[in-house]
Amino acid sequence: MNLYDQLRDPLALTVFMITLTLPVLVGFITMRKTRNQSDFFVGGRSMNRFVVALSAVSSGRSSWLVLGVCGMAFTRGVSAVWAVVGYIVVEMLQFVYLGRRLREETQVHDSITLLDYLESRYNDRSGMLRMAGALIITIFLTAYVAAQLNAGGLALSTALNIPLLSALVIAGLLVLVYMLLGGYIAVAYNDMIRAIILLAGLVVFPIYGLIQLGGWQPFLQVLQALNPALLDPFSLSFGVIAGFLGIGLGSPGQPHIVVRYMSVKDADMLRFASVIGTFWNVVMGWGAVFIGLIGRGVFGTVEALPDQNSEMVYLALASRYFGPVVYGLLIGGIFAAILSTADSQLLVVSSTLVRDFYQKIFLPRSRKQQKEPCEKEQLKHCRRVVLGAGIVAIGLAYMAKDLIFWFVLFAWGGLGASFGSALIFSLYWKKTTRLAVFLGMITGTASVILWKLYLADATGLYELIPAFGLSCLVLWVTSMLQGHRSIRDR
Amino acid sequence: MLGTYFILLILPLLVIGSSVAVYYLSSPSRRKGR
Repeated sequence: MNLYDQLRDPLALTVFMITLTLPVLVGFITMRKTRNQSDFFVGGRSMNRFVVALSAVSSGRSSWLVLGVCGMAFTRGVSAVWAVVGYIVVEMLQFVYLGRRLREETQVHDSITLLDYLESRYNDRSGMLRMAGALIITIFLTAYVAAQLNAGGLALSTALNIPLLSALVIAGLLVLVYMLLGGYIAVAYNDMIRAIILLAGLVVFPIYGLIQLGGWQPFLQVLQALNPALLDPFSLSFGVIAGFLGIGLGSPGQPHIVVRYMSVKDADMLRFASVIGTFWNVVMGWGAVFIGLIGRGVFGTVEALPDQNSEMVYLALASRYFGPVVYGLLIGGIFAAILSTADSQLLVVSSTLVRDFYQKIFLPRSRKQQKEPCEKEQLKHCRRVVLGAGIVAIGLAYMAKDLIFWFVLFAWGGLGASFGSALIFSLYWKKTTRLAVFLGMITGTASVILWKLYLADATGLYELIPAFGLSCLVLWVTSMLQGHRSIRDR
Repeated sequence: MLGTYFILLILPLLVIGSSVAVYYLSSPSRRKGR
């Protein structure tokens, strides 16, 4: 059974294609606003609060929300809510506290990237912070982009019945065209549009599903009859619930999320952005949980789903319940989730390659050229690098699937434990030293990998939690030991 | 069943409510006042 069969209906295909190609139009519209490197990577620090709010929540949620959380709710019941509560609460506070301070600091230091800020904050002339951070970002985020493109390509290949390579190229082009034209501004506006598409899907679906099941009480009765544990929020062990909540610890360390805060026009706008972002996150998160629960009520067991895969519940319900227009929109929602994450991550990889590796590490050490190129030349570099990084990601998605998925296992936790703790300490504790930030980043990444490989199964604890703690401990101890070297308060 | 109601219906409202509270608590005038 192909769940995308309904896309053969011209109306469904048209709606689906509109959701896919609308972003390219946005690229043309925003092209004129992108005049220099700062515009290309942080929107010239002039984005409004709605765009920043929706872009931050949309780029932070990948296909994991639409497929993973729905599947989790199908299997585990209402306790899947714990998987969304953690990151929603952390991101709510992140907008207001970490985001606002980061926006102010990056303006003071004239920083375009996260590593620009860390280097400038600690007056690091050795380049060790930038080098270590750039390597971590490039490896993890490139794997992340390739994995997103792989997921998008596979789905597109099945949906349109075309070969995987063609689907990957189409998915890649759909992202690259507007990125090349409008850079960050195009990405942010498209993320906003995709957040709206995603929200439409995650609101329409549960409401319609509840009506189909006869309302609230019959819905609960069906789940109760299937398995009472589905309605018990504490049916999971303490370790699993802690792991679900711990997902939120990863948010402050995702460069593609925190760069949103750096792009806002005025730091205080992030207060209102927090309310909008939280509302959106709540509706999307709970929407995904309700879809999984409704799917369980409708299908009963996982055997009734295609490939006996609980993550197929969103697609299975969409194809069962809806006519061509809504169906096209809902399928567009999956791609919206995938591509809005991929484009934001690809832009961060490109900014790391252009700004951190080329302009700040390679150029100053090159004997041939000591000067930084002019604005126009810089913009051309940015576009070339985005194109190059996109082609590499498409190539990896096609040829090195196992490798990228191996790296992606560690990506959210690795970035969270290395940059999250370092960023919080650097923004909130004046005694933090350069060496502490460096060791904190390395400890965070290494402990996520080691815990995942050797201790995660034995302990049942999500690797990000101990890794984040260890990274904080190293930051604190090193800074205390080097107390006399702490930087002066500005 | 109370737990189910709480986690599905009350908790999302509490989280949205908290974001509104954080909005007011973090206003620049309050920061300056401290």
